Amino acid sequence: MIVVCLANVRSGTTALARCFRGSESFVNLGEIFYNSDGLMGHYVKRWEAPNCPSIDRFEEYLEFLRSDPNHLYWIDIKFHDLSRFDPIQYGLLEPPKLLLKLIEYGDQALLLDRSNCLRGACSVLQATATGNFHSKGGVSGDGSQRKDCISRPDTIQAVRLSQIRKNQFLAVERFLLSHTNLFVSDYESMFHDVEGSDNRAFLGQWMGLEVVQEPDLRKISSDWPDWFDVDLARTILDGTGDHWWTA
Amino acid sequence: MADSSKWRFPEDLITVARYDALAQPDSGVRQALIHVHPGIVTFHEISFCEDPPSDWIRGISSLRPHLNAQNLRAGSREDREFIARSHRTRSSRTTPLKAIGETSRDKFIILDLEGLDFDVCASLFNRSDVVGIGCEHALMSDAEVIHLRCTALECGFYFDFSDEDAIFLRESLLTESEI
Repeated sequence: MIVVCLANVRSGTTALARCFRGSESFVNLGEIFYNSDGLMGHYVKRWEAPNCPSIDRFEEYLEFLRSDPNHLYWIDIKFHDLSRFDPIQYGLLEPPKLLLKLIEYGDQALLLDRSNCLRGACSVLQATATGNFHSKGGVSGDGSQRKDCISRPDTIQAVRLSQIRKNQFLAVERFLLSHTNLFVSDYESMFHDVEGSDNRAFLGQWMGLEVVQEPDLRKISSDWPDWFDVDLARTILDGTGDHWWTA
Repeated sequence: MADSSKWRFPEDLITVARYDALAQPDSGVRQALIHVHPGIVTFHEISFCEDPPSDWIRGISSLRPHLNAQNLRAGSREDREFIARSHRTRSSRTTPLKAIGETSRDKFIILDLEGLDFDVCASLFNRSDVVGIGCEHALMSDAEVIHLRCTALECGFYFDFSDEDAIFLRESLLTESEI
């Protein structure tokens, strides 16, 4: 059995998957398309090979996982990997081939959002700056070293990125409307809301898992980064439907 | 310096009268390109150099000749979203605004483009001779507003949005207390 988790980066997929590791049947395969630069990992890291595998081989791989009735395999696919099997990177203007296949397969699909897109964008930039996420070094978008003081360019970049993330999610959600086995949730409802524990338990129940553990909330930040200019972001978002992000 | 009262827009341009304050001679603005009639994309050029605006130079242009902008006029949020969705996919020829007015002279440009404010306005931020932009009845989606504000800040423009209108002014023209 398979559950495919679709989300943008820094949406809490890893933290969420860890909540289910207490179940013997649960196998977290992680980001199977994540490029870890040749580091050793699980055998499915073969999908990281420079030569992109075909959608047929991917289908064979999923069939192999489905043939194991004793385990539930958690596959984490990020939005930027959805166009992996398309000859041209269409972005998300057209339904990516991979997404269409996932709808066709009908495996359980979890679409995870970050309802506060601005916090998600800040998290991406912060992780990039500290070098613990995808790119190396604390380099800002303009090539300069990111500092622990308020930065207008970085704040504007975060607002822009938040809009991109929001649009990406809406596009994927729209494409997935015809999926017959879809669960849509968001980071906040899983980790920040008072009903978070119940929400995680409900998700576990949906996946057929018997054990749902508490998340490690120490790694979940609820503050704005030091470089984030909240007043400037409020000015940019003032009067729009997204103004609440800085509330 | 001339009395600013001599520099008022003509009375038939009442829709742009509220931008008078930003187009004062002492603000460094020397020319303004003004669109007066909603839906009819015609620009008038006014000189702020020495004389009152009796010496209108009429520059006529059409940003998108085949597009009936009047049909896009609407006020509700749903309509704005529709406009934002619709016009983004249109590919139409634009008359380069640099063809209007004297290049290298500071300009304050007022747009009333019925849903086209976003992309036209964004294209003007990078022009060094544009010191201010006024968007009348700025029909933009929230996403467009946010992106336009981001672009404005990155290009050194201060902005002020009212319910319908938007003003962008190059920050170098603001006094310290205004920034």
